[in-house]
Amino acid sequence: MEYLLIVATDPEGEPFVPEDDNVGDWVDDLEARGIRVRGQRLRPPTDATLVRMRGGELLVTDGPFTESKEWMAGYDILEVESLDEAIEIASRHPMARFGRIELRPAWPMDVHEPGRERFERERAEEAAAAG
Amino acid sequence: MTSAPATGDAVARAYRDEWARVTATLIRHTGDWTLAEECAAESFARALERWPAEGVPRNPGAWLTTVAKHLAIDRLRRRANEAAKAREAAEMVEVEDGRNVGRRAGVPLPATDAADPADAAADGWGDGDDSGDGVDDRLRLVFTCCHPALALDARVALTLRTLGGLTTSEIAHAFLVPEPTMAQRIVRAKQRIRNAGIPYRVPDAAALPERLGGVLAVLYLVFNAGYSASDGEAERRGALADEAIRLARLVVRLMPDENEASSLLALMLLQDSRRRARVDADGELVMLDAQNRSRWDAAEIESGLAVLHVLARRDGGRGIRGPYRLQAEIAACHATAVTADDTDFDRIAALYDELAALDPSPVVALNRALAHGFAGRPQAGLDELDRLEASGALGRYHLLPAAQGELLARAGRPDAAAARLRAALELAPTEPERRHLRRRIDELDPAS
Repeated sequence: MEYLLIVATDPEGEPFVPEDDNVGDWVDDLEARGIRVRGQRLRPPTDATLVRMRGGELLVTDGPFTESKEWMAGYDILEVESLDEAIEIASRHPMARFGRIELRPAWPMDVHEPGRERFERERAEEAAAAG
Repeated sequence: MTSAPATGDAVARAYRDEWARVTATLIRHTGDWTLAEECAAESFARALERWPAEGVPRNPGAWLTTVAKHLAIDRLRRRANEAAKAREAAEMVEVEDGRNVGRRAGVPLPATDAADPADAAADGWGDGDDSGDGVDDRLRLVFTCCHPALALDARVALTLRTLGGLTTSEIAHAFLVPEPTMAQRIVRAKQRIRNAGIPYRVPDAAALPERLGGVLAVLYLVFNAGYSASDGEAERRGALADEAIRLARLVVRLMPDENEASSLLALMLLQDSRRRARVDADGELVMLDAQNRSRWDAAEIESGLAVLHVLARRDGGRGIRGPYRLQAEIAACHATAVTADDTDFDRIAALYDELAALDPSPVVALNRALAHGFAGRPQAGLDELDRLEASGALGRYHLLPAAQGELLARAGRPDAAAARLRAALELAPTEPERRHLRRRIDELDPAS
Protein backbone atom coordinates (compact mmCIF):
# COMPACT_ATOMS: atom_id res chain seq x y z
CA MET A 1 0.00 0.00 0.00
CA GLU A 2 1.03 3.56 -0.61
CA TYR A 3 1.05 6.03 2.27
CA LEU A 4 1.69 9.74 2.38
CA LEU A 5 3.54 10.75 5.54
CA ILE A 6 2.55 14.29 6.33
CA VAL A 7 5.39 15.56 8.46
CA ALA A 8 4.12 18.42 10.61
CA THR A 9 5.26 20.69 13.38
CA ASP A 10 3.63 20.29 16.76
CA PRO A 11 3.90 22.75 19.65
CA GLU A 12 3.57 19.77 21.99
CA GLY A 13 6.46 17.91 20.38
CA GLU A 14 9.78 17.32 22.09
CA PRO A 15 12.20 20.27 21.92
CA PHE A 16 14.18 20.32 18.66
CA VAL A 17 17.79 19.23 19.16
CA PRO A 18 19.75 19.75 15.90
CA GLU A 19 22.27 16.99 16.81
CA ASP A 20 19.41 14.49 17.04
CA ASP A 21 17.97 15.35 13.65
CA ASN A 22 19.02 12.08 11.99
CA VAL A 23 16.75 12.11 8.98
CA GLY A 24 19.68 10.93 6.80
CA ASP A 25 19.97 7.72 8.85
CA TRP A 26 16.25 7.25 8.47
CA VAL A 27 16.43 7.42 4.67
CA ASP A 28 19.57 5.24 4.51
CA ASP A 29 17.94 2.61 6.67
CA LEU A 30 14.87 2.49 4.44
CA GLU A 31 16.98 2.20 1.33
CA ALA A 32 19.00 -0.61 2.92
CA ARG A 33 15.74 -2.40 3.62
CA GLY A 34 14.66 -1.95 0.03
CA ILE A 35 11.69 0.24 0.92
CA ARG A 36 10.88 2.80 -1.71
CA VAL A 37 10.48 6.27 -0.27
CA ARG A 38 10.55 9.71 -1.81
CA GLY A 39 9.93 12.94 -0.05
CA GLN A 40 10.94 16.50 0.60
CA ARG A 41 11.12 19.16 3.24
CA LEU A 42 8.69 21.99 2.54
CA ARG A 43 9.15 25.73 2.81
CA PRO A 44 6.94 27.28 5.50
CA PRO A 45 3.41 28.54 4.78
CA THR A 46 4.77 32.09 4.44
CA ASP A 47 6.27 30.97 1.12
CA ALA A 48 3.10 29.30 -0.08
CA THR A 49 0.93 30.40 -2.98
CA LEU A 50 -2.80 29.84 -3.12
CA VAL A 51 -4.49 29.15 -6.44
CA ARG A 52 -8.26 29.25 -6.98
CA MET A 53 -10.53 29.35 -9.99
CA ARG A 54 -13.87 30.98 -9.26
CA GLY A 55 -16.39 31.59 -11.99
CA GLY A 56 -13.68 31.07 -14.58
CA GLU A 57 -11.48 33.69 -12.99
CA LEU A 58 -8.02 32.88 -11.66
CA LEU A 59 -7.23 34.09 -8.15
CA VAL A 60 -3.64 33.89 -6.97
CA THR A 61 -2.74 34.96 -3.44
CA ASP A 62 0.15 34.46 -1.06
CA GLY A 63 -0.02 32.36 2.08
CA PRO A 64 -0.33 31.62 4.89
CA PHE A 65 -3.95 30.62 4.81
CA THR A 66 -4.61 29.98 8.48
CA GLU A 67 -2.66 30.97 11.54
CA SER A 68 -1.64 27.62 12.90
CA LYS A 69 1.17 26.28 15.01
CA GLU A 70 0.87 22.92 13.30
CA TRP A 71 1.91 23.22 9.70
CA MET A 72 3.10 20.76 7.12
CA ALA A 73 6.88 20.81 7.12
CA GLY A 74 7.52 17.97 4.69
CA TYR A 75 6.23 14.81 3.13
CA ASP A 76 7.30 11.31 2.28
CA ILE A 77 5.63 8.76 0.07
CA LEU A 78 6.09 5.16 1.16
CA GLU A 79 5.27 1.88 -0.50
CA VAL A 80 4.82 -0.82 2.17
CA GLU A 81 2.76 -3.92 2.91
CA SER A 82 0.50 -2.57 5.61
CA LEU A 83 -0.25 0.13 8.15
CA ASP A 84 1.88 -1.64 10.77
CA GLU A 85 4.97 -1.26 8.60
CA ALA A 86 4.11 2.39 7.89
CA ILE A 87 3.67 3.05 11.62
CA GLU A 88 7.01 1.42 12.42
CA ILE A 89 8.77 3.56 9.78
CA ALA A 90 7.00 6.78 10.78
CA SER A 91 7.83 6.18 14.44
CA ARG A 92 11.55 6.33 13.62
CA HIS A 93 11.40 9.58 11.64
CA PRO A 94 13.02 12.35 13.72
CA MET A 95 9.93 14.52 13.27
CA ALA A 96 7.84 11.91 15.10
CA ARG A 97 9.72 13.22 18.15
CA PHE A 98 10.03 16.94 17.31
CA GLY A 99 6.65 17.21 15.64
CA ARG A 100 4.14 14.68 14.45
CA ILE A 101 3.42 12.54 11.46
CA GLU A 102 0.08 11.85 9.89
CA LEU A 103 -0.24 8.68 7.82
CA ARG A 104 -2.66 8.93 4.92
CA PRO A 105 -3.33 5.83 2.83
CA ALA A 106 -3.48 6.41 -0.92
CA TRP A 107 -6.91 5.87 -2.43
CA PRO A 108 -6.20 4.41 -5.87
CA MET A 109 -8.54 5.33 -8.69
CA ASP A 110 -8.91 4.93 -12.41
CA VAL A 111 -8.39 8.54 -13.49
CA HIS A 112 -10.13 7.89 -16.79
CA GLU A 113 -13.34 6.57 -15.30
CA PRO A 114 -15.96 9.27 -15.92
CA GLY A 115 -16.59 11.27 -12.75
CA ARG A 116 -20.31 10.54 -12.73
CA GLU A 117 -19.76 6.78 -13.01
CA ARG A 118 -17.20 6.79 -10.23
CA PHE A 119 -19.46 8.86 -8.01
CA GLU A 120 -22.43 6.52 -8.52
CA ARG A 121 -20.37 3.34 -8.17
CA GLU A 122 -18.70 4.42 -4.95
CA ARG A 123 -21.98 5.57 -3.49
CA ALA A 124 -23.53 2.18 -4.28
CA GLU A 125 -20.56 0.35 -2.75
CA GLU A 126 -20.84 2.45 0.37
CA ALA A 127 -24.54 1.62 0.66
CA ALA A 128 -23.86 -2.09 0.11
CA ALA A 129 -21.20 -2.12 2.82
CA ALA A 130 -23.57 -0.49 5.28
CA GLY A 131 -26.05 -3.29 4.62
CA MET B 1 -30.19 -41.03 16.88
CA THR B 2 -29.58 -37.75 18.66
CA SER B 3 -32.54 -35.86 20.04
CA ALA B 4 -33.29 -32.39 18.77
CA PRO B 5 -32.67 -30.56 22.08
CA ALA B 6 -29.34 -32.33 22.48
CA THR B 7 -28.19 -31.28 19.03
CA GLY B 8 -29.49 -27.77 19.74
CA ASP B 9 -27.18 -27.72 22.75
CA ALA B 10 -24.35 -29.05 20.63
CA VAL B 11 -24.83 -26.24 18.13
CA ALA B 12 -24.98 -23.68 20.95
CA ARG B 13 -21.79 -25.12 22.41
CA ALA B 14 -20.12 -25.14 19.00
CA TYR B 15 -21.15 -21.51 18.55
CA ARG B 16 -19.40 -20.58 21.79
CA ASP B 17 -16.33 -22.67 21.06
CA GLU B 18 -15.95 -22.39 17.31
CA TRP B 19 -17.38 -19.06 16.14
CA ALA B 20 -14.08 -17.22 16.42
CA ARG B 21 -12.16 -19.98 14.64
CA VAL B 22 -14.61 -20.22 11.72
CA THR B 23 -14.79 -16.43 11.30
CA ALA B 24 -11.05 -15.89 11.71
CA THR B 25 -10.23 -18.52 9.11
CA LEU B 26 -12.69 -17.07 6.62
CA ILE B 27 -11.34 -13.55 7.09
CA ARG B 28 -7.83 -14.76 6.29
CA HIS B 29 -9.00 -16.48 3.12
CA THR B 30 -11.36 -13.81 1.81
CA GLY B 31 -10.18 -10.58 3.43
CA ASP B 32 -13.86 -9.69 3.65
CA TRP B 33 -15.04 -9.36 7.24
CA THR B 34 -18.72 -9.04 6.49
CA LEU B 35 -18.72 -12.00 4.13
CA ALA B 36 -16.84 -14.03 6.75
CA GLU B 37 -19.39 -13.23 9.46
CA GLU B 38 -22.36 -13.92 7.21
CA CYS B 39 -20.99 -17.27 6.07
CA ALA B 40 -20.01 -18.24 9.62
CA ALA B 41 -23.54 -17.46 10.80
CA GLU B 42 -24.99 -19.41 7.88
CA SER B 43 -22.82 -22.44 8.71
CA PHE B 44 -24.35 -22.58 12.19
CA ALA B 45 -27.83 -22.35 10.66
CA ARG B 46 -26.92 -25.35 8.45
CA ALA B 47 -25.72 -27.21 11.54
CA LEU B 48 -29.10 -26.66 13.19
CA GLU B 49 -30.78 -28.11 10.10
CA ARG B 50 -28.50 -31.06 9.53
CA TRP B 51 -27.06 -32.23 12.84
CA PRO B 52 -30.40 -33.56 14.20
CA ALA B 53 -30.63 -35.97 11.25
CA GLU B 54 -26.97 -36.61 10.50
CA GLY B 55 -25.66 -36.55 14.04
CA VAL B 56 -23.13 -34.13 15.56
CA PRO B 57 -19.86 -34.40 13.64
CA ARG B 58 -16.83 -35.66 15.50
CA ASN B 59 -15.04 -32.36 14.87
CA PRO B 60 -17.75 -29.67 14.82
CA GLY B 61 -15.24 -26.88 14.19
CA ALA B 62 -13.86 -28.53 11.06
CA TRP B 63 -17.39 -29.29 9.79
CA LEU B 64 -18.51 -25.68 10.32
CA THR B 65 -15.37 -24.24 8.76
CA THR B 66 -15.75 -26.42 5.67
CA VAL B 67 -19.41 -25.48 5.23
CA ALA B 68 -18.64 -21.79 5.78
CA LYS B 69 -15.79 -21.92 3.26
CA HIS B 70 -18.01 -23.41 0.59
CA LEU B 71 -20.64 -20.78 1.24
CA ALA B 72 -17.98 -18.10 0.90
CA ILE B 73 -16.64 -19.53 -2.34
CA ASP B 74 -20.18 -19.70 -3.77
CA ARG B 75 -20.81 -16.09 -2.88
CA LEU B 76 -17.50 -14.90 -4.28
CA ARG B 77 -18.17 -16.79 -7.53
CA ARG B 78 -21.62 -15.31 -7.77
CA ARG B 79 -20.23 -11.84 -7.19
CA ALA B 80 -17.57 -12.38 -9.84
CA ASN B 81 -20.17 -13.58 -12.36
CA GLU B 82 -22.38 -10.59 -11.70
CA ALA B 83 -19.42 -8.27 -12.09
CA ALA B 84 -18.42 -9.99 -15.33
CA LYS B 85 -21.98 -9.65 -16.68
CA ALA B 86 -22.07 -6.02 -15.70
CA ARG B 87 -18.74 -5.46 -17.38
CA GLU B 88 -19.84 -7.20 -20.57
CA ALA B 89 -22.99 -5.12 -20.63
CA ALA B 90 -21.01 -1.93 -20.10
CA GLU B 91 -18.57 -2.83 -22.86
CA MET B 92 -21.42 -3.61 -25.27
CA VAL B 93 -22.92 -0.23 -24.58
CA GLU B 94 -19.58 1.39 -25.21
CA VAL B 95 -19.11 -0.48 -28.49
CA GLU B 96 -22.57 0.54 -29.61
CA ASP B 97 -21.85 4.10 -28.58
CA GLY B 98 -18.67 3.96 -30.65
CA ARG B 99 -16.65 4.97 -27.62
CA ASN B 100 -13.08 3.87 -27.20
CA VAL B 101 -13.32 0.55 -25.35
CA GLY B 102 -9.58 0.26 -25.12
CA ARG B 103 -9.07 3.32 -23.03
CA ARG B 104 -9.11 1.41 -19.79
CA ALA B 105 -6.43 -0.99 -20.90
CA GLY B 106 -3.91 -1.55 -18.16
CA VAL B 107 -6.09 -0.02 -15.49
CA PRO B 108 -8.18 -2.81 -14.04
CA LEU B 109 -11.33 -1.69 -12.29
CA PRO B 110 -11.81 -3.25 -8.88
CA ALA B 111 -14.70 -5.34 -10.22
CA THR B 112 -12.58 -7.06 -12.86
CA ASP B 113 -10.40 -8.50 -10.12
CA ALA B 114 -13.37 -10.06 -8.41
CA ALA B 115 -13.05 -13.35 -10.29
CA ASP B 116 -9.68 -13.94 -8.75
CA PRO B 117 -10.38 -14.06 -5.00
CA ALA B 118 -12.89 -16.87 -5.40
CA ASP B 119 -10.57 -19.02 -7.43
CA ALA B 120 -7.51 -18.10 -5.45
CA ALA B 121 -9.37 -18.76 -2.24
CA ALA B 122 -10.74 -22.08 -3.50
CA ASP B 123 -7.29 -23.16 -4.67
CA GLY B 124 -5.64 -22.15 -1.46
CA TRP B 125 -8.15 -23.91 0.77
CA GLY B 126 -6.70 -27.32 1.24
CA ASP B 127 -7.71 -29.69 4.00
CA GLY B 128 -5.95 -27.84 6.77
CA ASP B 129 -6.72 -24.39 8.15
CA ASP B 130 -3.13 -23.65 8.84
CA SER B 131 -1.78 -20.68 6.97
CA GLY B 132 1.62 -22.32 6.97
CA ASP B 133 3.24 -20.18 9.65
CA GLY B 134 1.60 -22.08 12.50
CA VAL B 135 -0.24 -18.98 13.72
CA ASP B 136 -3.80 -19.50 14.88
CA ASP B 137 -6.10 -17.28 12.83
CA ARG B 138 -7.94 -16.27 15.99
CA LEU B 139 -4.77 -14.59 17.22
CA ARG B 140 -4.59 -12.50 14.04
CA LEU B 141 -8.21 -11.58 14.64
CA VAL B 142 -7.53 -10.54 18.24
CA PHE B 143 -4.77 -8.15 17.23
CA THR B 144 -6.62 -6.70 14.26
CA CYS B 145 -9.82 -6.08 16.25
CA CYS B 146 -7.79 -4.32 18.96
CA HIS B 147 -5.55 -2.33 16.60
CA PRO B 148 -4.64 1.10 18.03
CA ALA B 149 -5.56 2.78 14.73
CA LEU B 150 -9.21 1.98 15.52
CA ALA B 151 -11.17 4.10 17.98
CA LEU B 152 -11.54 2.44 21.37
CA ASP B 153 -15.30 1.98 21.08
CA ALA B 154 -14.81 0.45 17.63
CA ARG B 155 -12.23 -1.98 19.03
CA VAL B 156 -14.65 -3.04 21.74
CA ALA B 157 -17.56 -3.48 19.31
CA LEU B 158 -15.51 -5.35 16.72
CA THR B 159 -13.98 -7.65 19.33
CA LEU B 160 -17.37 -8.60 20.72
CA ARG B 161 -18.93 -9.02 17.28
CA THR B 162 -16.22 -10.78 15.32
CA LEU B 163 -14.26 -12.60 17.99
CA GLY B 164 -17.02 -13.08 20.55
CA GLY B 165 -19.84 -13.78 18.10
CA LEU B 166 -22.28 -11.46 19.87
CA THR B 167 -24.92 -9.99 17.60
CA THR B 168 -24.94 -6.28 16.88
CA SER B 169 -28.20 -6.05 18.79
CA GLU B 170 -26.68 -7.73 21.87
CA ILE B 171 -23.71 -5.37 21.84
CA ALA B 172 -25.91 -2.31 21.36
CA HIS B 173 -28.08 -3.47 24.24
CA ALA B 174 -25.12 -4.03 26.56
CA PHE B 175 -23.71 -0.56 25.93
CA LEU B 176 -27.09 1.20 25.92
CA VAL B 177 -26.56 2.43 22.36
CA PRO B 178 -29.26 2.35 19.66
CA GLU B 179 -28.78 -0.65 17.39
CA PRO B 180 -28.31 1.37 14.16
CA THR B 181 -25.56 3.37 15.90
CA MET B 182 -23.75 0.17 16.87
CA ALA B 183 -24.23 -1.32 13.39
CA GLN B 184 -22.75 1.84 11.88
CA ARG B 185 -19.82 1.72 14.29
CA ILE B 186 -19.01 -1.85 13.23
CA VAL B 187 -19.36 -1.11 9.51
CA ARG B 188 -17.07 1.92 9.84
CA ALA B 189 -14.50 -0.11 11.76
CA LYS B 190 -14.40 -2.75 9.03
CA GLN B 191 -14.09 -0.08 6.33
CA ARG B 192 -11.27 1.49 8.24
CA ILE B 193 -9.41 -1.81 8.51
CA ARG B 194 -9.54 -2.13 4.74
CA ASN B 195 -8.95 1.50 3.81
CA ALA B 196 -6.20 2.31 6.30
CA GLY B 197 -4.36 -0.93 5.53
CA ILE B 198 -4.61 -2.44 9.02
CA PRO B 199 -3.03 -5.87 8.54
CA TYR B 200 -4.48 -9.22 9.53
CA ARG B 201 -1.40 -10.25 11.39
CA VAL B 202 0.13 -10.83 14.78
CA PRO B 203 2.56 -7.96 15.42
CA ASP B 204 6.26 -8.72 15.27
CA ALA B 205 8.28 -9.22 18.43
CA ALA B 206 9.29 -5.56 18.73
CA ALA B 207 5.71 -4.29 18.68
CA LEU B 208 4.13 -7.20 20.54
CA PRO B 209 4.36 -6.06 24.19
CA GLU B 210 2.68 -2.73 23.46
CA ARG B 211 0.06 -4.24 21.19
CA LEU B 212 -0.74 -7.03 23.65
CA GLY B 213 -1.23 -4.36 26.30
CA GLY B 214 -3.80 -2.79 23.99
CA VAL B 215 -5.63 -6.10 23.57
CA LEU B 216 -5.77 -6.69 27.32
CA ALA B 217 -7.02 -3.14 27.89
CA VAL B 218 -9.95 -3.79 25.54
CA LEU B 219 -10.84 -7.03 27.33
CA TYR B 220 -10.62 -5.39 30.75
CA LEU B 221 -12.78 -2.52 29.54
CA VAL B 222 -15.44 -5.02 28.40
CA PHE B 223 -15.17 -6.80 31.75
CA ASN B 224 -15.59 -3.59 33.73
CA ALA B 225 -18.53 -2.47 31.62
CA GLY B 226 -20.17 -5.71 32.73
CA TYR B 227 -18.87 -5.81 36.27
CA SER B 228 -19.62 -2.28 37.36
CA ALA B 229 -23.20 -2.51 36.18
CA SER B 230 -25.70 -1.17 38.63
CA ASP B 231 -29.45 -0.99 39.09
CA GLY B 232 -31.60 -2.97 36.69
CA GLU B 233 -28.91 -3.38 34.09
CA ALA B 234 -26.83 -5.78 36.20
CA GLU B 235 -28.07 -8.94 34.55
CA ARG B 236 -27.82 -7.70 30.99
CA ARG B 237 -24.32 -6.42 31.52
CA GLY B 238 -23.23 -9.47 33.46
CA ALA B 239 -23.10 -11.14 30.05
CA LEU B 240 -20.27 -8.74 29.15
CA ALA B 241 -18.22 -9.84 32.15
CA ASP B 242 -18.76 -13.48 31.15
CA GLU B 243 -17.76 -12.67 27.59
CA ALA B 244 -14.62 -10.82 28.70
CA ILE B 245 -13.55 -13.82 30.79
CA ARG B 246 -14.20 -16.18 27.88
CA LEU B 247 -12.12 -13.98 25.54
CA ALA B 248 -9.35 -13.67 28.13
CA ARG B 249 -9.25 -17.47 28.39
CA LEU B 250 -8.94 -17.64 24.61
CA VAL B 251 -6.05 -15.14 24.58
CA VAL B 252 -4.30 -17.09 27.35
CA ARG B 253 -4.72 -20.33 25.41
CA LEU B 254 -3.29 -18.66 22.31
CA MET B 255 -0.42 -16.98 24.15
CA PRO B 256 0.28 -19.13 27.21
CA ASP B 257 3.68 -17.55 27.85
CA GLU B 258 2.38 -14.00 28.17
CA ASN B 259 2.24 -13.44 31.93
CA GLU B 260 0.14 -10.30 31.80
CA ALA B 261 -2.57 -12.06 29.77
CA SER B 262 -2.76 -14.81 32.38
CA SER B 263 -2.70 -12.21 35.13
CA LEU B 264 -5.64 -10.37 33.60
CA LEU B 265 -7.61 -13.62 33.47
CA ALA B 266 -6.83 -14.24 37.16
CA LEU B 267 -7.85 -10.69 38.02
CA MET B 268 -11.17 -11.02 36.20
CA LEU B 269 -11.95 -14.38 37.81
CA LEU B 270 -11.18 -13.11 41.30
CA GLN B 271 -13.19 -9.92 40.87
CA ASP B 272 -16.06 -11.73 39.20
CA SER B 273 -16.23 -14.25 42.05
CA ARG B 274 -17.81 -11.46 44.10
CA ARG B 275 -20.45 -10.57 41.54
CA ARG B 276 -23.40 -12.16 43.38
CA ALA B 277 -22.35 -10.72 46.74
CA ARG B 278 -22.05 -7.14 45.49
CA VAL B 279 -25.80 -6.68 45.52
CA ASP B 280 -28.08 -7.82 48.33
CA ALA B 281 -31.61 -9.23 48.13
CA ASP B 282 -33.04 -5.68 47.94
CA GLY B 283 -30.76 -4.74 45.09
CA GLU B 284 -28.57 -2.62 47.36
CA LEU B 285 -24.88 -2.28 46.63
CA VAL B 286 -22.77 -4.10 49.24
CA MET B 287 -19.19 -2.96 49.82
CA LEU B 288 -16.40 -5.52 49.99
CA ASP B 289 -16.03 -5.50 53.78
CA ALA B 290 -19.76 -6.07 54.31
CA GLN B 291 -20.24 -8.77 51.68
CA ASN B 292 -21.54 -12.20 52.62
CA ARG B 293 -18.44 -14.18 51.73
CA SER B 294 -20.36 -17.44 51.47
CA ARG B 295 -21.93 -15.94 48.34
CA TRP B 296 -18.56 -15.59 46.66
CA ASP B 297 -18.04 -18.06 43.82
CA ALA B 298 -15.57 -20.55 45.28
CA ALA B 299 -14.91 -22.21 41.92
CA GLU B 300 -13.97 -18.90 40.30
CA ILE B 301 -11.69 -18.02 43.22
CA GLU B 302 -10.09 -21.44 42.88
CA SER B 303 -9.51 -20.89 39.13
CA GLY B 304 -8.08 -17.40 39.67
CA LEU B 305 -5.71 -18.58 42.41
CA ALA B 306 -4.62 -21.51 40.25
CA VAL B 307 -3.58 -19.10 37.47
CA LEU B 308 -1.60 -17.00 39.97
CA HIS B 309 -0.01 -20.14 41.33
CA VAL B 310 1.26 -21.09 37.89
CA LEU B 311 2.67 -17.57 37.42
CA ALA B 312 4.42 -17.64 40.79
CA ARG B 313 5.97 -21.01 40.00
CA ARG B 314 7.09 -19.69 36.63
CA ASP B 315 8.99 -16.69 38.01
CA GLY B 316 10.02 -18.26 41.29
CA GLY B 317 8.47 -15.27 43.05
CA ARG B 318 11.23 -13.03 41.76
CA GLY B 319 10.14 -11.93 38.29
CA ILE B 320 8.96 -8.46 37.37
CA ARG B 321 5.27 -8.27 38.10
CA GLY B 322 3.15 -6.27 35.69
CA PRO B 323 0.13 -4.16 36.61
CA TYR B 324 -2.44 -6.92 36.02
CA ARG B 325 -0.39 -9.36 38.06
CA LEU B 326 -0.23 -6.93 40.98
CA GLN B 327 -3.95 -6.20 40.80
CA ALA B 328 -4.70 -9.91 40.66
CA GLU B 329 -2.50 -10.51 43.72
CA ILE B 330 -4.42 -7.77 45.53
CA ALA B 331 -7.74 -9.36 44.53
CA ALA B 332 -6.38 -12.70 45.79
CA CYS B 333 -5.66 -11.17 49.22
CA HIS B 334 -9.32 -10.23 49.48
CA ALA B 335 -10.55 -13.51 48.06
CA THR B 336 -8.62 -15.61 50.58
CA ALA B 337 -9.52 -13.61 53.69
CA VAL B 338 -12.07 -15.50 55.78
CA THR B 339 -13.52 -12.25 57.13
CA ALA B 340 -12.97 -8.61 56.20
CA ASP B 341 -10.94 -8.13 59.42
CA ASP B 342 -8.64 -11.00 58.48
CA THR B 343 -7.61 -9.24 55.25
CA ASP B 344 -3.83 -8.88 54.97
CA PHE B 345 -3.77 -5.14 54.37
CA ASP B 346 -0.04 -4.93 54.97
CA ARG B 347 0.50 -7.14 51.96
CA ILE B 348 -2.13 -5.23 49.94
CA ALA B 349 -0.42 -1.92 50.81
CA ALA B 350 2.94 -3.33 49.71
CA LEU B 351 1.41 -4.52 46.43
CA TYR B 352 -0.09 -1.06 45.88
CA ASP B 353 3.33 0.49 46.51
CA GLU B 354 4.68 -1.70 43.71
CA LEU B 355 1.70 -0.92 41.47
CA ALA B 356 1.97 2.85 42.05
CA ALA B 357 5.60 2.69 40.93
CA LEU B 358 4.50 1.15 37.61
CA ASP B 359 1.28 3.09 37.16
CA PRO B 360 1.35 6.62 38.59
CA SER B 361 -2.38 7.16 38.01
CA PRO B 362 -4.38 9.02 40.65
CA VAL B 363 -6.87 6.15 41.07
CA VAL B 364 -4.02 3.79 41.99
CA ALA B 365 -2.70 6.44 44.40
CA LEU B 366 -6.14 6.66 46.00
CA ASN B 367 -6.38 2.91 46.50
CA ARG B 368 -2.83 2.82 47.82
CA ALA B 369 -3.69 5.46 50.41
CA LEU B 370 -6.76 3.48 51.45
CA ALA B 371 -4.72 0.28 51.76
CA HIS B 372 -2.19 1.97 54.05
CA GLY B 373 -5.06 3.41 56.07
CA PHE B 374 -6.69 -0.01 56.44
CA ALA B 375 -3.31 -1.52 57.35
CA GLY B 376 -3.46 0.43 60.62
CA ARG B 377 -2.00 3.72 59.36
CA PRO B 378 -5.10 5.90 58.86
CA GLN B 379 -3.22 9.17 59.27
CA ALA B 380 -0.63 8.23 56.64
CA GLY B 381 -3.48 7.36 54.31
CA LEU B 382 -5.28 10.63 55.03
CA ASP B 383 -2.11 12.65 54.40
CA GLU B 384 -1.71 10.93 51.05
CA LEU B 385 -5.36 11.63 50.17
CA ASP B 386 -4.87 15.30 51.11
CA ARG B 387 -1.92 15.49 48.72
CA LEU B 388 -4.03 13.84 46.05
CA GLU B 389 -6.86 16.31 46.63
CA ALA B 390 -4.46 19.26 46.48
CA SER B 391 -3.10 18.01 43.15
CA GLY B 392 -6.58 18.26 41.66
CA ALA B 393 -5.91 15.12 39.62
CA LEU B 394 -9.15 13.46 40.68
CA GLY B 395 -11.32 16.52 40.16
CA ARG B 396 -14.82 15.85 41.39
CA TYR B 397 -14.38 12.07 41.72
CA HIS B 398 -16.77 10.95 44.49
CA LEU B 399 -14.51 8.16 45.72
CA LEU B 400 -11.94 10.68 46.96
CA PRO B 401 -14.14 12.21 49.71
CA ALA B 402 -15.61 8.73 50.30
CA ALA B 403 -12.11 7.37 50.98
CA GLN B 404 -11.35 10.31 53.25
CA GLY B 405 -14.57 9.58 55.15
CA GLU B 406 -13.68 5.93 55.67
CA LEU B 407 -10.17 6.71 56.91
CA LEU B 408 -11.44 9.48 59.20
CA ALA B 409 -13.88 6.95 60.68
CA ARG B 410 -10.95 4.57 61.29
CA ALA B 411 -8.99 7.43 62.86
CA GLY B 412 -11.81 7.84 65.40
CA ARG B 413 -13.25 11.08 63.98
CA PRO B 414 -16.88 10.18 63.08
CA ASP B 415 -18.07 13.78 62.69
CA ALA B 416 -15.37 14.69 60.20
CA ALA B 417 -15.96 11.33 58.50
CA ALA B 418 -19.68 11.99 58.06
CA ALA B 419 -18.91 15.42 56.61
CA ARG B 420 -16.65 13.94 53.93
CA LEU B 421 -19.21 11.23 53.14
CA ARG B 422 -21.82 13.96 52.67
CA ALA B 423 -19.47 15.60 50.18
CA ALA B 424 -19.15 12.24 48.40
CA LEU B 425 -22.94 11.91 48.39
CA GLU B 426 -23.19 15.14 46.41
CA LEU B 427 -20.90 13.72 43.71
CA ALA B 428 -21.87 10.04 43.55
CA PRO B 429 -23.16 9.23 40.06
CA THR B 430 -25.43 6.24 40.71
CA GLU B 431 -28.37 5.72 43.02
CA PRO B 432 -27.04 2.50 44.66
CA GLU B 433 -23.84 4.36 45.54
CA ARG B 434 -25.83 7.25 46.98
CA ARG B 435 -27.91 4.83 49.09
CA HIS B 436 -24.76 3.17 50.38
CA LEU B 437 -23.28 6.54 51.35
CA ARG B 438 -26.48 7.55 53.15
CA ARG B 439 -26.39 4.32 55.16
CA ARG B 440 -22.76 4.97 56.13
CA ILE B 441 -23.55 8.54 57.16
CA ASP B 442 -26.41 7.27 59.35
CA GLU B 443 -24.09 4.78 61.02
CA LEU B 444 -21.48 7.41 61.80
CA ASP B 445 -23.82 10.23 62.72
CA PRO B 446 -27.18 8.77 63.76
CA ALA B 447 -28.42 12.21 64.84
CA SER B 448 -28.41 13.62 61.31
